[in-house]
Amino acid sequence: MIIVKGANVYPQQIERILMETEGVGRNYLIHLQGLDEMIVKVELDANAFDGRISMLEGMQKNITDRIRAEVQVKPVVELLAPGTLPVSEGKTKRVIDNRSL
Amino acid sequence: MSTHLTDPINNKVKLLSVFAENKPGILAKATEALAEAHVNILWFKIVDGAGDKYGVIRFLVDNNQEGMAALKKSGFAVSTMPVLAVIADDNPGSLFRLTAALYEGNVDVRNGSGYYLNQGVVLIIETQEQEAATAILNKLGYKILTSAEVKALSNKCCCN
Repeated sequence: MIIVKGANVYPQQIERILMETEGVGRNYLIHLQGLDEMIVKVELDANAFDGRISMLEGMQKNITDRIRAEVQVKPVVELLAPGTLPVSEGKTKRVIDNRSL
Repeated sequence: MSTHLTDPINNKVKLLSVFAENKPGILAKATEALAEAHVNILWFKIVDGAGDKYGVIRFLVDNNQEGMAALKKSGFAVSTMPVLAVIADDNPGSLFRLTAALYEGNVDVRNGSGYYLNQGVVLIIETQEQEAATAILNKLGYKILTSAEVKALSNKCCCN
């Protein structure tokens, strides 16, 4: 569990939302930085992209809204190209905390 | 049933639409993939996404299948988008006449661009109402290019 802006956030909550979202890949990363900012990096599924910016923006907004409703913290959702996030062996590191609190 | 060789759907002009993170070297990486596959780029455009983190690069190329395979192999998320490639005159009012006709026919143009070719202009028009747009433009005598024609014109242009 991580604490962001005073709220308890379980990465599994975010993972579940991402896995339920059509068009995103399996890999993701929660990056905490700055004072207390939560950035959720998620890969686009190569086969789900329909070529339109509006699809990407809709997906980004949908993920943002759902995470905010679930954990009470508004994340910054970043879409990445497929295969961008490092795939680690064994237990994948999903949270990177670089906050300067 | 013997018309499959001139299937109008397969012969429609499509752009390659590539998801691109907004970071240095992405455009070079995508164009390198096309270059190595000997795919010729006839036109391209970068469409910005919200927040400056990503965009979409649209390419009109001479060989969609090979272009798509090359980009996918380089790790890009790629899709194709049908567009109308219309020959228009290169003179004042040309774009006005065309867009006015589409407007009168209730055709919503989502995206538009163009390139100069052999003293004419090829307009690239993206619309949800392709059939309606095609009917309007055909009626007014505009030439709507097929993918084979786009390719043939580009080859002619390159040899000059």
